[in-house]
This record gives sequence, structure tokens and C-alpha cells, in this order.
Amino acid sequence: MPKFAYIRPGSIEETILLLGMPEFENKILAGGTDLLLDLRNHTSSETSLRLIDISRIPELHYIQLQEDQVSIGATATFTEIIQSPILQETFPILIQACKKIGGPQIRNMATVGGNIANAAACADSLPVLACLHARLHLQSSQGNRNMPIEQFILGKNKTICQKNEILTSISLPLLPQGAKGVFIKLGRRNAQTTSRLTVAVVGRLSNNGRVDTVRIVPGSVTDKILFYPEAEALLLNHPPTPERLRQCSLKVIESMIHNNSKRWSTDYKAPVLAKLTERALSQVFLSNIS
Amino acid sequence: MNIAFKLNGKKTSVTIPEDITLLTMLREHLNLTGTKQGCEIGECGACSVLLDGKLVNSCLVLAPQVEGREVVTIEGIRGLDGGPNDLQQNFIDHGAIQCGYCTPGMILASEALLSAHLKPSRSEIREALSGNLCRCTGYQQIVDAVEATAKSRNLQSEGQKNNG
Repeated sequence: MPKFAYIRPGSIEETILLLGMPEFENKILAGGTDLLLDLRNHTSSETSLRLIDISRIPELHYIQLQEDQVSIGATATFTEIIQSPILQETFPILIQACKKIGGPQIRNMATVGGNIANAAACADSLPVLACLHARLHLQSSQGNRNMPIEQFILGKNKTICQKNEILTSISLPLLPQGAKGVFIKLGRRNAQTTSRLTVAVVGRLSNNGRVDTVRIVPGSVTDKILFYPEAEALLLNHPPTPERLRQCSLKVIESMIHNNSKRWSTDYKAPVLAKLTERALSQVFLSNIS
Repeated sequence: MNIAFKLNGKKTSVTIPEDITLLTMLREHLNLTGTKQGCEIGECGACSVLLDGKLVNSCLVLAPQVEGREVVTIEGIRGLDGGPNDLQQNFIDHGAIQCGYCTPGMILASEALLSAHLKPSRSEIREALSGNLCRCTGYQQIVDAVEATAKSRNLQSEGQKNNG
């Protein structure tokens, strides 16, 4: 590992002050499960490396039910998310996805903010958070700003977050009454595995049995988070017949290939993603198990 | 830098470079070599320890992060007589140890599970051990050992209730 300095601020304000010091190459340490791996590949530069440990800042560490949303502090760990009665009640799909991340050790350390800020293409929480219309809250010496998660992530390991800025929380608007979410992950094994492909689907039927909400977000497919409005349009205001769900899944991969162009992995990913999407859609719209 | 923390129940203070992992501090600065160095990328679980009661990979925790907290390593797990505790004895009895390299991590992962779940199912045991790799046993014997320990601890605690 390279040489580095370590500092543990007690507040967001102090963190922002530290981030603003140009004599250091500052890196934010939350759970460390990605950062420590990156450090081992770190090439030394002229500015000295400093890790700013935000994992013990109380104002970043909470899960709160507010009027019409749930707010999650950036340093909430995946274990804390899985065990949160608030999130179990409001967003079972998020629990489902977080349970699939790493093994127990990783989930005890890794934070949701870190998963987002590191912006790996295969990050398991991203498709679900996007599907839940997550908004991210950032703070810097210039003030606060917030944005939908898909605008925060610019590409593989690239985000809109500036050097002197910190991701403080994630807010999730409550789902419409009766909406259901499903997350499916495909890895090389069941436990402790990197996703090959994932898909998150949230949907709801209106009283007359037609689809009135549907959001489909695949993961590990593109470097950025993309929605699939053309595919969703095939379902909206229609009864969710198996044939329609299949058509919708095929539209997802058509759009994926259009967005991504063909890659070496497309021959595998396209049919598999179509099947996963179809399966997730069926679980949302056709199964009675809630 | 100097850091103070609780290690296996004892207050400990040690002077270390700030840029080392908890694993390095335990093995090279405190001479506690029971915690094993494996993959060093958080996949094998050989370096597992308990940090404030939670199972973590000590290769992914920085030493200064444990300031003021409580760490339990394999050296802190033993029977009242200083020998193996019931879980460790069950590992021996069930053939859950072959080369032994994964064992300290397996024991800590098992203790973390048993402290939270009194009656884990076999699939819950497998889930709890999913961050720990073993290349010898095929896992079956390890799951057996943990299951046997859970059963005997339950019998004991029920026995105590009935007597009390």
C-alpha cells in the first residue's frame, strides 16, 4: 500500500474544510471495502495522499422515515439497511438487493454512500436506488445541491461529485400504495459474488388491472444508469399479459444494444437480460405473492 | 501514531504507523498471528475479526479506525480453562479443520452468527459463513460443527432456565 495520512473529522463541516486543502490528495474513507483495494493499485503522485474517515460522523449515519420519503445517511452500512425496520416496511426491494452484496463481512463495513460514490458499473445498489427514484444530497463549501442518482453517475467510477464535495444522504420517495418491487441478481455463484447482470423492476396495477406504474433498471449492463421508457411504454395502460411482458423485455435489450452498441459480451447479455427482465416483470405483475 | 482500543477484553495501547491495516497491526505489531492473512482483498475471510461485535475483514480496516473500539480475534475465543471452547471442540470433533488456515475466520464468523441467532437453520449458517472460503473441507463439516454448537448451547440455556 502507498503511504498515506489518516484523519477522522467529527462533522460534515470539518470534512468539507479538510477536503478543501489543496496540499493533499484527499480520499474519503467510509466503509473502505472498495477504497482499500484501490489504494493497493495507487500510483504515487507528488501531493501526499490523505484518507478522511467519515465513518463515525453521527450526522451522516441514520435511516429516517420522513413525511413522504425515507432519508438514508451516506454512511449507513448494508447490514444496517437490511436490519432497518423502516426500510423493511417501505422498500423490501432494497433489502433484497443489499442482501446480495458481498458476504457478511463486506455488508458490515460497506456503506450505501460508498457504493454510489465509487460508481462501479456492477454496484448492486445502483439499479434499485435508480428504480426507487433516489435523490442524492451533496454538500460543499459552496452550499448544498441534490439530483437524481442517474445524473450523479457520469460513467464507470466517474461522478459529478467535486473534490471539495461530499455525498451526505440519499432520499427515497415512498412508493405509490400497492406498488411492488423485485430485484434479481445473476452472479457466478450465490454468495459473495460480483454481479454479471442484475435487474430491478418496480410496478403497480391500477384497479382495472392495467399497468399504471412500471420502472425497469438493469445493472452491470451500462456504465451509466439508464431507464427504458420505450419498453415501459409498451406496458403502461395495458393489462400485463405474459406476451406483453415478453415484448417489453425484448424492447429493453433492443434499447440496451442501441445505447451501448454491440460489445463482445452482447451475445450473452442480451438473451439473459431479456429473460431476467421477463422474470422480474412476471414476479411484479403476475405473481400473487407480495 | 498511538491508538488505544480494547483487544480481547483488555485495554491496549500501541504505537503504529497510521497507514497500516488492522490485520498488519495485529500480526506484526501485536504478534497475534492467529488472524490469518489470505487474499487481502476481502474475499476469503481468513482475516476475519469482530469489531464492536460485528464480523469484519481486518485486511479492509485501517488500524487507526479501531481507536476507542473493541476488537476480538481468535486469541480471544477460548474455553474457561484456556483450552478450546465448545465451538472449537466441535470443529475438531466434526472434522471441520483440515489445513486449518480458514479456521480462525470460520470460528469468528460462527461466533458472530451464534451471538445473534440462537437457532440458526443450516441455510442461515451457510449464509453467515458465505464470506469465508475453505478449500479443504467442502464446508459440510463446518456447518455440522456450528449446528451442533447451536444445539448444545440451546440445551444449556434451556436447562438453566428450567433450573432457575
